[in-house]
Amino acid sequence: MFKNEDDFEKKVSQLNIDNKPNPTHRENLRRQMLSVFNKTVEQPITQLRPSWRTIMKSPVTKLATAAVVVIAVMIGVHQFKLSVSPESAPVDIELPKAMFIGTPENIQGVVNLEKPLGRPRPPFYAPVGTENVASGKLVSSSDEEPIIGEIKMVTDGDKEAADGSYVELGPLLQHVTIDLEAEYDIYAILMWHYHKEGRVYRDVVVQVADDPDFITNVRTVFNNDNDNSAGLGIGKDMHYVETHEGKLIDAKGVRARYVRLYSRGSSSNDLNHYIEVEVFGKPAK
Amino acid sequence: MMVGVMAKIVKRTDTDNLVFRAHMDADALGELYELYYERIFRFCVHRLFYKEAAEDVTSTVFLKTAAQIRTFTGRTEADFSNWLYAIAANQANAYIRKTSRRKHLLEKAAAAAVLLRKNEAAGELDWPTLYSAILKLRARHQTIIMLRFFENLDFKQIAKIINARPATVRVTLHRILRKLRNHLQTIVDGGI
Repeated sequence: MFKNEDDFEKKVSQLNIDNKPNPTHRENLRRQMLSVFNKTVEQPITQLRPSWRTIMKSPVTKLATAAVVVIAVMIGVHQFKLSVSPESAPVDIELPKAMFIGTPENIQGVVNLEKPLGRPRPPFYAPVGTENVASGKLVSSSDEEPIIGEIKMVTDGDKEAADGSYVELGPLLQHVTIDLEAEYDIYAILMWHYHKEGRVYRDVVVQVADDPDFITNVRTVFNNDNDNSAGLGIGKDMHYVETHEGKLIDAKGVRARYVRLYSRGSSSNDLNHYIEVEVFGKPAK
Repeated sequence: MMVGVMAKIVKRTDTDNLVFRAHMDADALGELYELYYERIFRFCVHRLFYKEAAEDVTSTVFLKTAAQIRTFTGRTEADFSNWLYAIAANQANAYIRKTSRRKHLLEKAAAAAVLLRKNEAAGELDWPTLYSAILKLRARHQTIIMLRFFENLDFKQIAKIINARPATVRVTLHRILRKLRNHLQTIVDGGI
């Protein structure tokens, strides 16, 4: 065996490994690679014309677009007035310090990606008395031995992206489950995976249930797994870029005791991270 | 002494320029290919045990590189090297992730180990046995082991490749070696 790092290094250097490349493969691959490269050089980087320019070129499409925008705004205002009832109040959300500003680099190839809002998120309205009911509550995980941090960090109130504030779970599909210790009417779930850089977590699925094993009365409140690779059904929600604002999910007052959050790595690596999860609700009557 | 230092600086700048030119120039990309082919192939052989698989993955790595080099934002040779290793690590992990392939690799390593044990002195660490133990680690941990001990990269470079902090890599490596020692012990005690 080996005693320590230096000993291991020494033993590895003494191994007899046949790693001599085949010159034919080398030559063929070079040819193929340069052929691929030449094809890409022939194509312009942006092949598609911006659709906005197409719309603005024709007076008919221009007017139609303007009409659609006006109608959408009117519907939005109407809905907003309906949702803000006198018994509602903005939920008190305390945001961590922003650690990442700018354009994310590693998110090429992510389909169905939500565009950044470009301004702070508007307040979220919920019945008066709604508060974070997950604070300090018990958390369990599919990965019982996190690579970094501890599972209890998910509800410890520390939302900063600094080192020591997050738990790192292993690769593939992993989940954390929060036991709220009683039934609550849940109005919003707010989660921060890792906001030190602009990355996108895959197969983010959020479910609530009446039992810790998620067998009874399981309801999905968010699902952006668009190919059912997590096996929890095809989701229609969009992928999103991690920011210090976290991802806020409108749970629409669903009643449950357990909240479970799934993910399967991110655009940056195949590991799963959680900085904090907040569940805004009121005790069920 | 002074000349040596200057020569080193000029050489590094030349390769940096090569990386810069490779965004649009096939010859520059060809030169980079010649510089890196062996390193990437070697890395793939270490990750995938047998040459046929390593050739497949090496091909994927360089074809991806050719297809994406225009959108690559790095400017220096170090950036390019890290990018190439990151692609290679991801491709190798993707290859191993498939259970049937993983099983096949383990079987190959086991057969090779049995053959070696017949011919060589007992007690010495051999490559197939070590590979079988490494394959029992998480894919990310396998990458760290390979980059550190087989590619001899420093913690800073590994951290850039796997997108972690150097201190995290150092601590993780310590834990991985402990796990690896246990896996090796299990294999030696009970066979692969």
